[in-house]
Amino acid sequence: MRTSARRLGGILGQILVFVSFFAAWELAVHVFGFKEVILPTPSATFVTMWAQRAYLLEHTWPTVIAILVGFGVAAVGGFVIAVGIAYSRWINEITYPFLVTAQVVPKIALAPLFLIWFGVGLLPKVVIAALIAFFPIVINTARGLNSVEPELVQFMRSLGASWWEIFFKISLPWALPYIFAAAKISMTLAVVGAVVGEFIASDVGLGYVVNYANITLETRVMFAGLLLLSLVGIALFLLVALVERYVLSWQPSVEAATPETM
Amino acid sequence: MRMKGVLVAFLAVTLAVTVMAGGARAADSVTLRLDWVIGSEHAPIYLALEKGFFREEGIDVRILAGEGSTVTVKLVGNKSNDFGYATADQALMAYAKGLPVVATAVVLQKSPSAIIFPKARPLTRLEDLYGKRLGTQIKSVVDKQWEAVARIQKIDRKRIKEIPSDRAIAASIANGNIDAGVAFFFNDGLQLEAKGMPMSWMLFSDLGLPMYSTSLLTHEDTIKEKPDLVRRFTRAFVKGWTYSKAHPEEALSLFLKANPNADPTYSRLKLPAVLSLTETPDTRQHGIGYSTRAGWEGMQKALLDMQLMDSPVDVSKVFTNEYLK
Repeated sequence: MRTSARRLGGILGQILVFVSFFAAWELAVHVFGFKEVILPTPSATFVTMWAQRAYLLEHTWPTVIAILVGFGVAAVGGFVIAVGIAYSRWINEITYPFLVTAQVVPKIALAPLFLIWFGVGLLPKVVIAALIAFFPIVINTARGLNSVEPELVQFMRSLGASWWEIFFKISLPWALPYIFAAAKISMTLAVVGAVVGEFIASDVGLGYVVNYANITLETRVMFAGLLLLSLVGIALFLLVALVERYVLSWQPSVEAATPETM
Repeated sequence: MRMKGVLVAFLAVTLAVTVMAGGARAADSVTLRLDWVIGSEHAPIYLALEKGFFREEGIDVRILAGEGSTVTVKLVGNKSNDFGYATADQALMAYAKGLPVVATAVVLQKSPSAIIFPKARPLTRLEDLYGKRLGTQIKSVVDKQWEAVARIQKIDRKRIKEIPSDRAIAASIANGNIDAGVAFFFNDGLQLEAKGMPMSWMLFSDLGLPMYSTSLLTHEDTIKEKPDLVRRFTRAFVKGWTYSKAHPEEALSLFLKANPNADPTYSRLKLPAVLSLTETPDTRQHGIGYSTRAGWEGMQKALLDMQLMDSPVDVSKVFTNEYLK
């Protein structure tokens, strides 16, 4: 009973932070007298979101698809590489410097070239999203797999368990909290990646809406698109958190070990 | 006695330094935001700087690279920069959205927007695009201009394979991904020419879309509060263009000196093309930068047709020839 009251208080607090943010924003626009084309008020932005809902929703789906596919590619690819890194010192040593280099290359700067290499449409968006999103998956999954207590593995071996059995019964479940922590970060990065792709090589999606509204000086539409994009990002983040809660329900330590996300 | 002499000398030097500093402070220090990354289309502005035209008017100017006219009009309309060099259509759109920018000199009288294509695969009329791949810039106003041109010329756009190629028109043509592109002819077109691919183009301004282009802008308040500064700045700015038109070689060499990283071949091709856009019957009569109410009204009508503006504004508030005198 007491915990649920505390939870309710927490949720109210979270809402309060958002409300204060929007209130401060609204106030700042009025106090400093910003022109709407420079910074619209949140209330005007919400009105625009509603008025343009058909246009905005039409462009939401392509973005969601690009994010999910990009995230999926990053998750699968990152997982495979991570297994290699975790189980082979050789793979670890030869790939690590390259992975770090690939991570620090600013992919955004490459985006205009992606247009030429991959054309227009889903592909360049997915490539950028996957490239930006996969690093945390690789690092965290490898770390999770390596964190298994060696005694446990030795014990399983002494019982005659195969590599696969050890992997699926011990190592993978052990690594799951790490993987989910990474997945949450990667999902938010995939949002950034998909939007970068849409900025350059797309005629659909919220990234396109934001960019186009910037050029036609429709700043209200630009902010409506940005806000919707944030909502999409939050929803996908919560989706990962929800899957995590379901998958890791057997593990009581999850709640305590990872920061509360909902 | 000697100490006294040193003291007098010291005081004299101090006084001189103070006077000089005071003199320097008296110069107006302003910023000028360009429309795009620095290129030889800005050579006349560098000429005005290097030859001291601004200094003669008591102005100390800092030139800043731009990120597209749409950003420049916001920076000027928000008074983040004192002056801006951006396209007239963006200035008009910005004014309609409540950013009070005013053009004091319309330098490029014709829009450089065009359909560009390699001479090896020539087009003679727009209908030749049917069945071909046309690179468009969907995140730019030039795409809307292309829509308008297609409408005016009764072109069936469904018969053209339009491929979004933002910021990559030149590269896509070089790569063979597209047959032609919608672009500023003096940017992508001449870039390819500089790389050894002979290019040709059809200007939108010759296809029934009259548009003033890059202009000197400032804020309405600056005109109200410091009309003298606006007058002196505009004078020095236009003088740079007039002088460059008479001495293009000097403009080019001063530009290359100020921007040693610029590609000399491309810069050499671009400058005369840009200078040719400054000349119309109006400017031959009234000088570089002069624009007419009819010209602005025509552009406004086109912008309304393109749905880039919701309702018309009084164009006489967005431009003035007052400071060209």
